[in-house]
Amino acid sequence: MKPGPSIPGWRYRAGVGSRVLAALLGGYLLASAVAAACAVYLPLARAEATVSGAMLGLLVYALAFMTVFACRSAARAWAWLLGPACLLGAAVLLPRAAAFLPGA
Amino acid sequence: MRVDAAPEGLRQSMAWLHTWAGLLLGWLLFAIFLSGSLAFFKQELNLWSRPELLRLDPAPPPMTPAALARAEARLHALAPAAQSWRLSWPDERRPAALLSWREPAPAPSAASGPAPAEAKAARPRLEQRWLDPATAEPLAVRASFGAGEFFYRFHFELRSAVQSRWILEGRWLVGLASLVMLVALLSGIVTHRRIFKDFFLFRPRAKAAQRAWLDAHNLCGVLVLPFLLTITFSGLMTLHSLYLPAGIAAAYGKDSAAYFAELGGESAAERRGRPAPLPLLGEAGWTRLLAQAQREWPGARIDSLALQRGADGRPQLELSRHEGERLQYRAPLLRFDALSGQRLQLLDTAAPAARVYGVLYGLHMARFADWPLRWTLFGFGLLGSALMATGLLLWSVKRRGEVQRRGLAPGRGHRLVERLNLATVAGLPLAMAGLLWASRLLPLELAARPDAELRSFYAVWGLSLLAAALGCGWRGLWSAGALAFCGLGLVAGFEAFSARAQLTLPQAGFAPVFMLTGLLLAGLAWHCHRSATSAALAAGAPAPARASVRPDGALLRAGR
Repeated sequence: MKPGPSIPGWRYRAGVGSRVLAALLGGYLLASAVAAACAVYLPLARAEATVSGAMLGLLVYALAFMTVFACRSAARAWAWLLGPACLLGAAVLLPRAAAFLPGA
Repeated sequence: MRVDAAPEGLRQSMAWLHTWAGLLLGWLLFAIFLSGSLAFFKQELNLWSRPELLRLDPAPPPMTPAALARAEARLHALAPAAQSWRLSWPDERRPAALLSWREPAPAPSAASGPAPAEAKAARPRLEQRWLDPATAEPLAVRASFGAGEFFYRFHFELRSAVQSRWILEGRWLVGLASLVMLVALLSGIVTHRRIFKDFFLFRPRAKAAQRAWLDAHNLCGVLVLPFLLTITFSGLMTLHSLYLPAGIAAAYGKDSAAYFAELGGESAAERRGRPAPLPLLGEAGWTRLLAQAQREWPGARIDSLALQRGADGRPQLELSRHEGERLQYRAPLLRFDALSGQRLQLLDTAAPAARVYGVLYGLHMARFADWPLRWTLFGFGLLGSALMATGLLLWSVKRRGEVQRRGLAPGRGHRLVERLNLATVAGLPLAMAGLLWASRLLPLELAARPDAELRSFYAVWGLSLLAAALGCGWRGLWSAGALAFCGLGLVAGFEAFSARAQLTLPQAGFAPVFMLTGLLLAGLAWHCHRSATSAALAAGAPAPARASVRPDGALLRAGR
């Protein structure tokens, strides 16, 4: 990217800030969700599934980081990360939460 | 990522990411890579810090029952109440045996109040002593952190003191830098579309300094790309339980010890029995146990053995194979009942994912590497450090060119980056030399000597930052580094000469390696001087005696 002749405005700065936050925080949430979902749902021995999930999660983190900056807008970047993270997170957490419900 | 929000391709956005992620963490990554490269020589650098051990025979003596019985007797003389102990047998890189044991917690004294310091001391404490493997005599070794141990610890936790409060924060910071490194590598691959062609492209005499630095940066990156990808990813994996604990929490809850036990091939984390003093096995006991180990593990090289109490309270002997025997990290363990000699358990993993993880870990630690491979890996690590350094300089050179074309003075941010580049790239080797000097120069009777060693490292680094801030140039810091390393080379050469009758390999190696490092730094200083002079002549000005210059040949103060 070439720095243009104009000084970047607050809108641009906020966009960059939002993306950095999305990459670090959103990426971490997604990576954690991937690691947890693998650990729980991969049809392997427990330790095998967990260590595979950690490897996959770290790779996903790096790729998510790049995706955030390749997206057309910061809002899209957030959506790309939080969408899958919520789905995977729910798949891990909901069965556990259900165990505490009355009648379960 | 354009300011005017115009649409752009993947390569442009990845170039933006590569530039800014690289700049923000480039200094830290340079320090991590350089100290990590030196950590490949951890044992040898530790020997430099503890020269008393250099006098031992570098060929390790065989592990005989008599030698083990002597070491055991020494332990019982030193610590009759020890609850568990471990003996690490010497190998080619570590000439002394290391005996370590756990002292029981002292009974809390009723006289003084429960001060926090005392509460800490009430835990069992780990003691260790270096032994001459032939006689089991304790060796009088100076108190030192060990230069190799420090570079190793700095490399993954930015260790600042023996009992540092910031270890976890340091590990997280290194983890963040490693993640960004992985991102910078992957985005760098996307950015350089002609990656194969770039491999053969180097234009050191290019008119534009930026072009030459870009070529150097690409060359360093492409040449060792597989190494960089492996070392970065495996580095993240070594601490994955800290960085990404979600998977462990989901599958194991709070019982992360069970995860590590299963990963190591154990069915469940075995609870240790109640601590109690251990029996003396004696030479007869060791003869029986070693023969049993030989039957179970024919031809195995034993690296260390540990005696502890098992869950049933019976003393247990745990043998660990030498880590040089295979790629995979965490050598297999074999457990025996220490009294009956009955085999209890072989701890190793055959599960595929755990082995992939073990091999990644092993590749990172490189315990298996022989000398040629070790030096090759070290060279790769240096190229990785050069990748960071050239990337940082490239950022600076590129913007300087733009500023000069428009006839402007460089901004405050730009000057800050240049000073930090200087203090990191040229200051860190100087600080490392400072540590190597400190481990030899600090008085032996100094209290908290290991902490003083570490403080010397950070003090020299701080001084070079100060020098950079005050306008000292590249030539000044490179020259200081060259002098420091040549001085180390002279000291090492003198020591090797006075010990020439029984010169051992690590001792003979120090002088040439330090000298070569010094000459390399002197070469860099000379190069900066020469290119500064030619740049000044080209500008029609007399070569200034004390101008700050950068190695790309542009005068730093020009245009101000």
